[in-house]
Amino acid sequence: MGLQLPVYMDAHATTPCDPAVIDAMLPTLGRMFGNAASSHHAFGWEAEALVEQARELLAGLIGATPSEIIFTSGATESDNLAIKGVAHAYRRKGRHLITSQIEHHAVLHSFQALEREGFEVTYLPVDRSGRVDPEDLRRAIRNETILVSVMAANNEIGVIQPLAEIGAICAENGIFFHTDAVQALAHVKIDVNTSAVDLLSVSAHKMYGPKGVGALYIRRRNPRVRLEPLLSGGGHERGLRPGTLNVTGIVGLGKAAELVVAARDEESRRIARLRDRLQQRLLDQLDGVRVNGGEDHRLPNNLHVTFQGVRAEWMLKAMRNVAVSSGAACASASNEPSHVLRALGATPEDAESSLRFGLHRFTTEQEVDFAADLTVKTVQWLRQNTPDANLEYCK
Amino acid sequence: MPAPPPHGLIYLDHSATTPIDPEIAARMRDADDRFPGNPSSIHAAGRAARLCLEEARSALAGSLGMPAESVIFTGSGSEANNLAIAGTLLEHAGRPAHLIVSAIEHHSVLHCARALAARHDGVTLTEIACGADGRIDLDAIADAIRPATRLISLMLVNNETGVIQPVAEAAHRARDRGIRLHVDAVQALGRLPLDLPALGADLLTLAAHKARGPRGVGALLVRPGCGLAPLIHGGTQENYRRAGTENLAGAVGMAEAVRRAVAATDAHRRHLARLERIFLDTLTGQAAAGPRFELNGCATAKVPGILNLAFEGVRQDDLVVGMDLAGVAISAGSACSSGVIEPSHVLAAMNLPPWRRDGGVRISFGSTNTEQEARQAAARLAELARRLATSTAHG
Ligand SMILES: Cc1ncc(COP(=O)(O)O)c(C=O)c1O
Ligand SMILES: Cc1ncc(COP(=O)(O)O)c(C=O)c1O
Repeated sequence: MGLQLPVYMDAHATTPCDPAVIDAMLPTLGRMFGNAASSHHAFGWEAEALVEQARELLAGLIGATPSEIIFTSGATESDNLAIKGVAHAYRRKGRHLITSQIEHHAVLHSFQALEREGFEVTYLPVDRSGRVDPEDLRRAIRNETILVSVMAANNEIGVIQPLAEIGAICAENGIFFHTDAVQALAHVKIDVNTSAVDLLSVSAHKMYGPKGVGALYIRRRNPRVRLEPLLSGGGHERGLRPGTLNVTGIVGLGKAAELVVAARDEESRRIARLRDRLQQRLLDQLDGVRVNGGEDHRLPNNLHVTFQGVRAEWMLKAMRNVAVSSGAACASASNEPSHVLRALGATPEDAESSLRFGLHRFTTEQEVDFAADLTVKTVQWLRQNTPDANLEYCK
Repeated sequence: MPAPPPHGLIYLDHSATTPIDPEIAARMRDADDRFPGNPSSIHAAGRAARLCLEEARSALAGSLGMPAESVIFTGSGSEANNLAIAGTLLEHAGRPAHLIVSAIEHHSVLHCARALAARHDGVTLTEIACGADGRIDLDAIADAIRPATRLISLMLVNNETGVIQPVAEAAHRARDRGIRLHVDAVQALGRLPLDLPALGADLLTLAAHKARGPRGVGALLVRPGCGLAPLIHGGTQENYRRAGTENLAGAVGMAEAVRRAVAATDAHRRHLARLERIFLDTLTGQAAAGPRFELNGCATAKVPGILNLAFEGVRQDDLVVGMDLAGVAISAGSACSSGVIEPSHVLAAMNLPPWRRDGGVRISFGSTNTEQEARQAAARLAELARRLATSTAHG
């Protein structure tokens, strides 16, 4: 097959929708239009059956039971519901919460909203590879701590956190453990029981499903987690999330989960090989290149690199035929240097000289080679042709 | 062209949800195909998706004569209602705030208002009664207004009775007192003209799936200058008012649904009025042999196409289940998700005799219904009511 341009290599922002997911959703945009809450006729039952099937498929992906899954409009809503929901339901037990410095804004900004309400939040530091030290967590725990939220894998540098160790510490101390597993699920096996996770956020569009739908896993036994809902309304989703269900999106999420279960391990190995090839080419052909985040605990599809003395902004402009990014998509309007890189100890200059490559299910070797060549040429060209500007910038 | 009814069943539950318009579905698929990027990404794929999103936003706003920035896309009509109410009340959290809603609002308004009053010390709530005609009491609103009143939330069309509420008159009584007006127009879309200034509305809720658009997407229209506290924190989407990766296909589908519904409002009303007349004439023609029936809600102050009917001596659930067996999908009030029929808070608020309050069933027509379907459904309903009335009388 010929190379199709531009090459899409920004899977952390969003993944292409799998054609099988689109096929699964099509009937819900036609004949199967019912409201899943219409409990008195066949149109409603049919919609409900589709939703319940998706719930089972998603539960299967993470070792949960279907009744522990509720559907949302995306992981941002799931993160808000999990964090504010636990904080509000258990505020009488304590008002201290723990998270890490490198969480997604959906998590960080939820905690900041709680701080404005009088909760206290500890933001755990990370080491140079981006990992939380479980001993730091142990030291941060107080009698009043009610929730720990640490992401399964980071959306910028791909670092995978020691979930099972964190989960064990939380369980020992009777503290709920939430993890934002958005970036991890397509690539890493996560079992909510093995890792003692109590709440887990999912987004369909990061695992080859549609945008605008997600889910939250909420443990029902040992321990049972109560939540104060974010939104009020009808009794949908066990009273935790009102609103007519997005049947189309939910069916897509279920199908996406099914595909991940079937393909993940093999696919992750393939993607890791391609990512290693890309990394090797950049390191071989360029000086002043540093890979961010450790190599030991990293998502197979992530490559985050600093090109010393070259502004990411110019690279992005020059590399029109490869869609990569310089950080989290949803922070793009704010124009702040990445909080994740700052937490790793990077200088603001380094943070603004970095690119994130996100490979995915449909990435080919040809695309990897094209992206590597274009990146090398672009970096070389920028270093040669804009020395003054670069030097000035680097001061 | 009306599509043939799926399943060979007659669908008369359009207030719960409507069949998606095939042309709208096609546009959504097209958006999914052409714009796989994340609208927040700054590469070409992201920018194209952003452009598509902003076109949908302008189109939706333009259909209502509003500027594009007045539209906030949400994950449902329920979420938009919550955002309007909690977002207004919590904008100056801590300050005393009084809220007025009617007793016949949708649960996403009523429960949100009650939850705010229960959880926040400074928030107080007045619920306005309605008359036996299903119209809210305007004088009661005027009486309820106090210096601290911050928001009045009223629906334009009730989802159980179809009764049009005197929203503009209520706005008039609240005028010049610094009180915001929120209008839940979910059931009014396609049935009444929607003009925010004419209604005196500062905030207006819409849901796509009630007008042949997709499930799982709603919008809040906000008059420029109205500040709102976000309920979902995270990225910078929706101008910091609603975080989360945008449901691009959903937004495209919603914009198209609103455009079509607004453009076709007059024709749609005529179609619904004709179906309703045929239905009621058929029912009345066969009524002599059956039990007495009454329309709940003022016949002259309601939109065409939504009927709430009660038959003396006939149980509501027997009617709904019996009609389902007879191949006609109707409902007992709003779509409930628990599977049990709960007493309607709307009919309860109208102070009807018990047989009308407990026996009300909702029949709601849509654009794909035919005259023949209206006739057949009425005949089946008359026949069923007759059978049920005699069996109850004898049994
Ligand atoms: C009057 C009214 N408001 C709000 C809603 C909620 O909309 P959604 O189902 O999209 O949450 C509905 C429908 O269920 C409704 O009828
Ligand atoms: C780690 C992480 N959490 C949460 C989100 C937000 O998910 P959504 O886009 O479904 O709102 C994202 C993606 O933007 C993410 O990468």
